[in-house]
Amino acid sequence: MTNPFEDADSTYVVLVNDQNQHSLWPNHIEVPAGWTTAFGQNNRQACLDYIDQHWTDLAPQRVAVG
Amino acid sequence: MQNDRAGEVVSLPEVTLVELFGARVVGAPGAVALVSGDRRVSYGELDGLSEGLADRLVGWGVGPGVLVGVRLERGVDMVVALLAVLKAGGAYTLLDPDFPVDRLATVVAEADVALVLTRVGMRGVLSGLDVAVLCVDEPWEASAGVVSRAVVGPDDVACVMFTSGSTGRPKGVAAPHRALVGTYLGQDYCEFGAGEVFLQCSPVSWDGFALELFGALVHGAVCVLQAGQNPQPHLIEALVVEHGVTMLQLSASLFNFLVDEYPGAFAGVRTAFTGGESGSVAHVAKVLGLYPGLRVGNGYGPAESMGFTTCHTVTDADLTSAALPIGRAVTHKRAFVLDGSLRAAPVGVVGEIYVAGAGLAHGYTGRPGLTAERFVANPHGGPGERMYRTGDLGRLRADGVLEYAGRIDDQVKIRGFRVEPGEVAAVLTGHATVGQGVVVVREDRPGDKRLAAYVVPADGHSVDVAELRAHVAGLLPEYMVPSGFVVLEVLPLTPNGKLDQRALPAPTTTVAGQGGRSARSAEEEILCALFAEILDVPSVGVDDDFFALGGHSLKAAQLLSWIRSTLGVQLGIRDLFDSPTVSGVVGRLTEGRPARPAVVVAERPEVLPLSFAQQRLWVLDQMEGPSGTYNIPVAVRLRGVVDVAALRAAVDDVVGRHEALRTCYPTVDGEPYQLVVPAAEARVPFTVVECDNERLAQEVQQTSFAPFDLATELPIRVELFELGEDESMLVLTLHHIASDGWSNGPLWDGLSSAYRARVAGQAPDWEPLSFQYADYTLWQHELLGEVLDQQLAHWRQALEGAPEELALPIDRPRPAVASHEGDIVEFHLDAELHAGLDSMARQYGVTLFMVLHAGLAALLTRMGAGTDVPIGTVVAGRSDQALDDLVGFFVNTLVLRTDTSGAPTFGELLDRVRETDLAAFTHQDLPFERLVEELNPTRSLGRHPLFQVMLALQNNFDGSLQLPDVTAQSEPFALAPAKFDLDFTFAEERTGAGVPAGVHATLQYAMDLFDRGTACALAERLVRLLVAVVGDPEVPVGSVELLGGVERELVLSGWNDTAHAVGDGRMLSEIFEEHVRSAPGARALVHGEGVLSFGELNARANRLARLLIGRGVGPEARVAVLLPRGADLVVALLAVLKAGGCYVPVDPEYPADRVAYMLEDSAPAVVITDAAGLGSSGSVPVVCVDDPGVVGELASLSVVDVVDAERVGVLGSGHAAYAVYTSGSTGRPKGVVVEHGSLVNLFHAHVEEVFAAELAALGVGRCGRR
Repeated sequence: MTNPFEDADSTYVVLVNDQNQHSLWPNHIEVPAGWTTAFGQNNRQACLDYIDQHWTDLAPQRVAVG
Repeated sequence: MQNDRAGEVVSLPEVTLVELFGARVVGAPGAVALVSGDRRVSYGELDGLSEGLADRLVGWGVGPGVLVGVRLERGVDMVVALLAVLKAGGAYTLLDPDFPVDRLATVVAEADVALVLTRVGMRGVLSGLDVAVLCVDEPWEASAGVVSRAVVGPDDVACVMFTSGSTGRPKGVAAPHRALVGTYLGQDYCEFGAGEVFLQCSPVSWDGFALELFGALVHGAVCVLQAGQNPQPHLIEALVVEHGVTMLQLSASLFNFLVDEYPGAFAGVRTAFTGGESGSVAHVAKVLGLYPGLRVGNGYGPAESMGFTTCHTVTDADLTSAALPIGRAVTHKRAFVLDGSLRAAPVGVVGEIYVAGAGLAHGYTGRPGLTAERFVANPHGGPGERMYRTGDLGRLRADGVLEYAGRIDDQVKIRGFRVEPGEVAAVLTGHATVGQGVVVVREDRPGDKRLAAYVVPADGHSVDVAELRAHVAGLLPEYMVPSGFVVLEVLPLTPNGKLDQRALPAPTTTVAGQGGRSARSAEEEILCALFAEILDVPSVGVDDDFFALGGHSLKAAQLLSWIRSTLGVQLGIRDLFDSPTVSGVVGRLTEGRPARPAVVVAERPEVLPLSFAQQRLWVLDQMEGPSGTYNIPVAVRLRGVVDVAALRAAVDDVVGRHEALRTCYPTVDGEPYQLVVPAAEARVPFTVVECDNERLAQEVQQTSFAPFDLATELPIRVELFELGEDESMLVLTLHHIASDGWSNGPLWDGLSSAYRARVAGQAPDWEPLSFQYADYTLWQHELLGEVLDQQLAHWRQALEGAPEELALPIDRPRPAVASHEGDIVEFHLDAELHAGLDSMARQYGVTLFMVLHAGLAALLTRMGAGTDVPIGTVVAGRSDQALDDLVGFFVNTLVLRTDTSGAPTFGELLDRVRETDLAAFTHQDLPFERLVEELNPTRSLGRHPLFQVMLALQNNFDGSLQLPDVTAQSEPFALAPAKFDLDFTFAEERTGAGVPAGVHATLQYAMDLFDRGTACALAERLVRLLVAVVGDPEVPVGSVELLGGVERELVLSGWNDTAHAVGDGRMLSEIFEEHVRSAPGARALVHGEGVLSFGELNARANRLARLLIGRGVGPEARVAVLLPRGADLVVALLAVLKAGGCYVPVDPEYPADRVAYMLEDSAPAVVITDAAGLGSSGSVPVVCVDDPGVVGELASLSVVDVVDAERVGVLGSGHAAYAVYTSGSTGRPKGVVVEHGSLVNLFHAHVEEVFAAELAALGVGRCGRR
């Protein structure tokens, strides 16, 4: 079974949620609610490089209430 | 959605661990929070201790987002440190002090550790790291003002857990407070609450650690901290019992081990988890059988989801299934099984397991890309939620329960620990000599998963496996170090170019016990056996590495527990990591014992004293006058042409090499001293005598026991008897003052190599000896002052009140002066018994010697010797390996006193014997002669002082003479003076691979006291006792049956009735017949073909007797019985007796020339044999028992008892009953004739010889002369 996140030949996007958490995401799968595309589509490594550069603090950003 | 295994929706309070703990402190400050050793710490105390340190940390700069390494051993300080870090607002990461320092460096760099908390004693290893260090046990000044702490929320990181990373770097999983709180609040996978007692035994590097500690502390429960970094089975059991532990979280390996070895660890436990890897249904079933009320949970969850994510409580139905399911998601967590498009997989279909919910970590510290790969958007959750893809495969059952189905990638679990083989491989290839490296998990034995490393050397390099292993062990935790390393020329590939895993050879476990030194002491021997037993290998040498042979932390814990129970010393697991060999462990055991100075080359004083042993021999020599009592003669028959000049020169070479062989013992002022004759002046008497075979025995005897004049003569002489052109007999006679059994190796090897050199016209090319006997002598005298007093104190205590004379089953009163006349009974422990004794020794942590010792002590007690049994033995006395190469008198005698009282089982007796013997061996330097002087027992010329029974297991290398173009065969001396009442000597035989091949045994007995039959019976009973206890070591030794079936019946029913009539002239055949009449149906013989009753046996013997009478057999007629052990043999022997003849047993297994000689020499009237023996019987009239004609004739004869009238002549007790052969000194067997009357008196021996077949069928060895 191939995992959709491990296909080196496929294309991916980078998703971000409102806590600035990033997720690699297979381009061919619908983007889940609460996530927006921040980068891509592109190849897997390019997406990972983007994440490494742009997601510098893994702690979830606190959501402003109200 | 259908397969969303969401836990029950319970709202999770927005709290931190610190707040929950604080609430418990307020609620019940006096309640016990921690138990560590004898220490109990209440919630209030724990809070107070951690408050102070928290302030200090805040002052240092710890706050949210700051990671603090905690490198402290499991204990109160460690918990205080963790709480303090959390209170300060920081996150902790636990750094196991058992992990290699280089691993520590990697972790510190990888996770950006700001500060490491340790203690003063351990700070040294951190000095090389680029990190601040703070010691919790060093004084510090509290800052004057109020320290203000940052506000911490549930999203702040509480801990970072390191787990194996596939790219060669460990990954730090950063878990927020929420993940921990969410895992322990509102759960029902086990009982949480103030009344619970959690055991913290998991390694601190394991994600399950937090459940054991914080799972307790947030609920007001007690957390019991096990000492040591790794789970230790015996401690777990003890802590469960002592503290009433209610929850155990165990890796499946540990769970199974405890079930098998320490089931008491589950007593009173409410919930026990088996997790981390596939649980064993059989072990769960077993423990539920023992503790039906126990709840067994099979937990599942990665560190990325803070451990427990799903859990299954094992039900009865599960116990019949192949594998345990992993259950449903726990509260606040979710688990999905998804397909390749992230859609829910249908029930029963395998997909990948994704987990979500409160347990999720933020990600991997410093690795955003890797985090975003694994923590991904969740299409099945609320807006913006993430899920973690585990890489685990699973399937849902129709009832919603999840089943585990393996891994999607290479990740493996080794004893519950996640291991990425890629990380280990990266470390391998990091070594300069390695070009390519792969690591795979193998399960060559079911249930035993091990990592195996395969490496291809880098160009121009070769791989040193030991060095590579050390490299890996220096960088990775113990569970990640492969147990097998294989060097390949090339890695096998599949046609697609991928690694062909199936083509990888199984690593051959490092061949243990080869090349390395073998055990020198009983402790080493016991430890080698323990190592081998635990590692499941045939043997282990003293320098073999426990971990290199497949040992791991769990096995280490088992080993330590065995060491504790057998040797009474508690070592820590760290001791074993630091010195993982038998010699290393012995070093730890002997720490604190008085050090014994090493033997050194000493300056020679003007007058060189005698060693203590020599002194005693010298005194005896003076007292007894010239005698051969202490001569050690060896005769070797040489076939081939001997170069006499070369042999003479070789003898001079050996004598030149060993000073002890050219030392005389003259006196000055009445005191003897060692006078070493310079090699050039030493003249060894070397006589060449022409001789014929007829006179040889007498000549040999004469030279062998001719006395030495110790004052003027060298203690060695050589005679070469030339028997013909190419046959001679070499007789080397040494005085014991210059030699001992262990000297045979250097003596004969030296003679062999010198002869080879001399034949070639050269001098032998020997490495010079490090020491001479004189050095040892001086060392011993020096030792006397330092160590021997302490040893003497031991012996005084050990032998206080011991019986001066052991009550042995003697046949006649002890004479006032012993004649020292002795004879020898040979017997044999067969290979099966040998193997059984070997394995029992391993099982009980004793040596084979100790098993024999316990057996002998038990036998003597059973034979009426009482329950205080001193037995003598000898030790090599060569305390230093360098002394092994010397010829000289080093051997010392020890007294082993065993208490056999209180009806012990054999196992219990082994424990006692081990204690006695180890203590004795530890104090073996005190010369026996000194001991006798000091204890000053009542002296008697009739017995040996302090003990009268000797036991020796020969392990001294028996050197042999090996001359080119000459075959040399040593000739045993049949009769040596008996120095003890009973002297048991055992010699093991093993195959090249070390497999037990039997034990040859001799019992030399003092003829002053014992008849041969009594000695035979003792030997037989010893064997029978050993057979019985091997079968069941837990049987009380007092209830072991010592008599053979027939012997027992005769003694109990037959013989007892007529015992007073012994010697009344009746023949044994008559006594036998009487017994037959009283119990014709009783079982007489168990043999290969079946069972024979006394009636049947008697009938067959009567028929054969009549047939023999018909062939002229009568009183004084000899009948050779050439039959293998079996019913026919017994029938034949009885038939000969009934006919009134004299039987001569001839074992068909003897060499043909021996059989021929015996048949010729005994001049039998008839030979009874079978078809197989016909070829050997020569020209003598034959009765072939399986010949159809004979069978027919027998059938026609009467079965009733033979009476005198039928016999050729009237039988009297003076007539010969049997003749047996003993080894003559000339190599020719010698016949000994026993009369019918004597036979009756020797009934024990006789019955046993007659019924040897039965004994053989019982697996009992033979007893008799050969």
